[in-house]
Amino acid sequence: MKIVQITAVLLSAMFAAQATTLQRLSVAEMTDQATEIVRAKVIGCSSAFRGSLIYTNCNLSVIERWKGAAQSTVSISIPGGTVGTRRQTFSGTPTLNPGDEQIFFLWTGRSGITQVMGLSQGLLTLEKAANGTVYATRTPTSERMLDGAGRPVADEGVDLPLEEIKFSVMNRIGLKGKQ
Amino acid sequence: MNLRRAAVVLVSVLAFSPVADAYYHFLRYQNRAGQLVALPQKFDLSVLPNKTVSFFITSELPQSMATGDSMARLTSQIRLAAKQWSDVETSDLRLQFGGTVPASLVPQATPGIDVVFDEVPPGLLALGGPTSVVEPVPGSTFVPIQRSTIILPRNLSDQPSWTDAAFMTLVHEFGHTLGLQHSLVSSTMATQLTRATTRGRALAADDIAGVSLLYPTRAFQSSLGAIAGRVTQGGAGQALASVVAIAPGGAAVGTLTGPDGSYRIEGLAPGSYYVYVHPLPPAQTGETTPANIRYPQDGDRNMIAPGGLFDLLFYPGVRDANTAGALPVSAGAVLDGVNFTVTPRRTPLSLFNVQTFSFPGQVAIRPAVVNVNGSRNFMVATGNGLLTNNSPVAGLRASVLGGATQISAIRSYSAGYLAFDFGFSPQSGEGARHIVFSQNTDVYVQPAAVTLTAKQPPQISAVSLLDAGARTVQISGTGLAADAQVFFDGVPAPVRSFDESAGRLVVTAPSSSNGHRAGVVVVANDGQSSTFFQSEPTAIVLDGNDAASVSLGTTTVAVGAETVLELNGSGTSFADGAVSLGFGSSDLLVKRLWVLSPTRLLAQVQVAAQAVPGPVTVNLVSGLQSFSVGGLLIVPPPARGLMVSPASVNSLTGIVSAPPGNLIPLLTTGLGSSATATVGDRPAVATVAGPSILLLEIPAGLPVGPAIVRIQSGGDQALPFAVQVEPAALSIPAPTGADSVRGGRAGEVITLPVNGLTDLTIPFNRPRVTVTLNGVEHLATASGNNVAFTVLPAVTPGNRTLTVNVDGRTSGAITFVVRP
Repeated sequence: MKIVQITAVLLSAMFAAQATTLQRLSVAEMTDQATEIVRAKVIGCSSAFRGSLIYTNCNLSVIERWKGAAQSTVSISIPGGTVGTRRQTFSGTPTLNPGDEQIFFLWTGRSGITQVMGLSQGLLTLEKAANGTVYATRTPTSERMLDGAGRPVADEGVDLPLEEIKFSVMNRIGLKGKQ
Repeated sequence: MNLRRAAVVLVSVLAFSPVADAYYHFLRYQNRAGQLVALPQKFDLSVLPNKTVSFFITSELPQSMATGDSMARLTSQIRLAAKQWSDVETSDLRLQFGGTVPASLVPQATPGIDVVFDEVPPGLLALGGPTSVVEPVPGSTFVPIQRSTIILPRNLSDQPSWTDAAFMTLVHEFGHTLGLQHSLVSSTMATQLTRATTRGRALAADDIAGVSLLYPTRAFQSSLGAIAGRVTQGGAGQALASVVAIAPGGAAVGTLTGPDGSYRIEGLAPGSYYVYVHPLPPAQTGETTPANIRYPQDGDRNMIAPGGLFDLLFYPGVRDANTAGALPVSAGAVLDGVNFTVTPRRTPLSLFNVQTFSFPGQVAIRPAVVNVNGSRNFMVATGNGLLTNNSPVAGLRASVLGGATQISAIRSYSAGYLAFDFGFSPQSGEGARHIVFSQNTDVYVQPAAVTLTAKQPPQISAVSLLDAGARTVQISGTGLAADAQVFFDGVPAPVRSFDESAGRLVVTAPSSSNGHRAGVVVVANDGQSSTFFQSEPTAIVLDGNDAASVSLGTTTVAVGAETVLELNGSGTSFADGAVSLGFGSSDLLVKRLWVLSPTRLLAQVQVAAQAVPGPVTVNLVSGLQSFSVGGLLIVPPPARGLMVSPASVNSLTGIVSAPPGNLIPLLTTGLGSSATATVGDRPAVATVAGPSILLLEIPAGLPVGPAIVRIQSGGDQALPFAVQVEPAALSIPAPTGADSVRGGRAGEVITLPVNGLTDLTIPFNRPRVTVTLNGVEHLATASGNNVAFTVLPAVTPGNRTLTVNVDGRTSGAITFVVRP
C-alpha cells in the first residue's frame, strides 16, 4: 500500500529531523555505548574551568558496578557550574547533591574525562517503595524513538525494580559480549 | 464568551518594563521593597560597541566530520544561524562573526560568544548557555552576561552541517547564548519535541518577542502590544504556569508566571488573540525539569518551583476553545487584568507533547506543512495521550483554533501514529495553524501544529555550472520563483535571473576554495524549502582560486582607537554581504565593512578602551572561502599626539554619514592652530573651531560611498577613519496641491515622499526604516523614494513632529497633523 511505503520513508527521515540538541537513547543503547554503569552515591562536587568552559566535577562512591573496570570511586564531569564570581549555565544539565544515590550510565572519551550519557538521560533515580523494593525510574519519553536505521523502537521509559533493570543491563552486556 | 468576566480587562499605555515576569529567560529574583524583582541574564548593550556581540569559532577544530563536510561548510551555517538573531528588527542586539580564536582564549574585556568543540557523551548533540556573574550589582536590572558558549561535539561524523536539523540546532543554541531558555510554544527555543520552525522560517514570533524583550528597540515598545494578568489557585499566585497568547491565524507568544502568579506577554502584533494557561508538562527523558527549563532563584538562591498541576483554561476561564473569547491587542498598549483562577488537578496530565508530520514528497516534514490545494490533505501525529493500541483514544477530538479549516476525521495510520484529515475552505488561508486536542476533560493546545500553504515546496532537479569564472550556476526544478532565496551551504547566492516557463533560476555562487562541494537549497517566499523533498541537498562542486590571498597594510592598532583598515585581495571575489572580517577578539569590532571591488575592502574598526594589549589574528571570510590575513598587534594608547573622533555619528552604524557639503564636527586632542585634511583623497576644508574642536567639510562632488578622512595638525597625523558619503540629507518635501500639511488618523497607512534615501537593497547590517511621530517610533518600509507607515493609536490627535529615520540617519522634522 502506497501510504505504508511512504511511512517507511517518513520514519527514516524523522530520525534526522528529530536529532537536535538531544539524541534520544534507549537503555539498551546506553548499555552498549556506556564505558561504565554503576550504582553510586554522590560524595561531593566542585566546579573548575577547563579552557573557557566550567565543568562541575563530582566524585561518586561506587556501591555496585554493572559495567567497567573495578574501582570504588568514579569522578564525573558535568558541563556548567560556578567558579568564583562566574556562573556558566546550560539548560538540562543535572544537579547532583551529596548523598544522592542513582544509577549512572557513564561514558569516558579520549580525553579521559567521564560524563553522564545524554546530559541526564544516563541517570536513573532510585526510589524505595512501601514494601521495601527499590525502583529505578526514568520518565518515559513521549517521543517516538527510532533506532540508528530509522526504525521505530519501543519507548523505554523506566520504572522497574532495581534488580530487574540490573538483570536487563547485565543480560544485554552478556549478549553483546558473546557476539 | 463570558463578557461579564472579560470586562475586568483594562487597557493602558505600554510602559517600558525591563523584563518583568516575561518570557523564558534565565532569571533570578532580588528582593526590593518587599517585592521580588526579576533580573534576567543578558548582554549589557552599553559595553558592546555598536550594540554588537562578536561570536568566534575556536581554532581547535572537530576531530572528525561527516563525509563531504568541512569547516568552511560548517562555518557558513554557524554564520547563517547567528544572522537569524541579528536580523530581528525589534531587537537592538546584533551579532557579528569575529573569526577564529585559539582554544586558550586571548584575554578579552568585551563580552562575546565562543563556539567550541569539546568531547560530549553519546546522546548529546549541542549545548549553549551564558556565563555571568553570580551576584549582580545591587540595584541592577539584569545580570550581565560576560561570555556565552556553544559546545559542539568534536566528533561530528554523524551530524552533517548541511542538514536542516543541524542548522536549527545552531539557531537554537545561539538563542541560549543570548539569554533565552526553552519555550513551550513551538518556537525555535522550544525543545525538539515541539519545535515548529524551519530553515525558511527560523524564528517564530515567540523567539522574536523573547530576544526583543531583552534588547528592545524603541519600536518594539511602540509598535507591539501586550497582555498581562495573574494566575491564581485558591487565591494564591500560581508560579511558573505557562500562559500563551495565540492569534488564530499565526503568532503564538508565551511566558511563565512569576512567583506571585503574575505574567505579562509582550511583543504581540496588533490583532486578536486567545489566551490560555496550562501547567508545565512532565519532564521527558533526558530532561531534568519540564522542557529542561532552569527554574529561577529567589534572592537567597532558593529555587522557585512550579505550582501544582491544573487543567488548561482559555480566557475567560473556560476549557472549551469554542467558548473562549478573542482579546484585542493594540500597538503600544497593554491589556491588563487577563486573570485566570485555576483549580488543582488530581491526576497527571495525559495529553501533551504532540508532534505532527506531513510528506509533500518522500521526506517527512515536521511539523506538518499541508498544501490546501494538494492531494495529501492530512497530517500525521504522535504524542502523549493520543493513541491506544494504535488507534485514537476514546473521545479524542481535535480542532483548528479559530479558523476556517476543519479536522474532518481522526484515524489510525501506522503503528504509533494517527492521521488527521483536514477539510479546507476558500477561507482556510495560509500560515501556521494551532490545533486543540481534547479527550474528556483533558485539553492540550499545540501551537503551529500545522502550516497551511497554497503551493508545493520548491524542488531541485538539477544544478549545473554555466560559467565557472563568473560562478554562474543554473538551478532547474519545480516551484522555483524569482523571489526565492538560494543558499550554497549557509551562504546566500543572489538570483540573477529566472525563467518561469523553463523553471530555471540563475544565481551567482559564492566564492570558495577550488573543489568546494556545496549543498544547494532553495527557500520559497512561504518558508517552504527544497529540503522538504531532499533532506540531502543537491550538491555542486565549485571552481575556486586556491591561490587567492588577502593582505592588510596596517600592523598595529592602539587601545581605544578607531581607524580604517584597507585590505587588498589578489584573485579574490569580494561581494557585498558575503564578506566578514574578524580578529579573534571581542575587543576589536568591525563597525562597518565596505566592498569597494572584488579585490578591495575598507573596514572601520574600533578597539575597546579596555582592550588588553597583545597580538590578535586577522581572519577574513568571503563567501565559502576563508583567508588568514596575518596578525595585528594591539598596542597601548599613545601618551600624546593628534587624536580625532567624530562628535556625532550615525546611531546605527556608529560612523559618520553625511552628504557632500556638510560640516562634520570632530573632537580632538593635540590639535595645533591649523589643520589640513583630505576626504577621499580630495582636499577638504578643516577649520579649527576651538581648542579641541575641528570642523571638517565633506567636499562637493564626492561619490556616494565610503571615503577615508586624513587629518594633519601641529606636525602630527591622526589615524585615518572612514565616513559614509550620502547622496543627500534626508528630507521630507513640503506637500503640493491642495493640502498644506501632511496628516492622517490612527490606523491609517501614510506614504511620505523622502529625499536622500539610500539604496536599501545594498546589504547593510540591517536596513531599517522608522518614522518617529511625537516621540513614538513606528516601523516603516521604504520603496523607491517613499516611506510608508501606519499611524499608531498611541499618538494623540494634534499637530505632531515627525521625522524619518533610515539606517540611523534622521531627516529634518516636519509637522504632521494627527486627526481624531
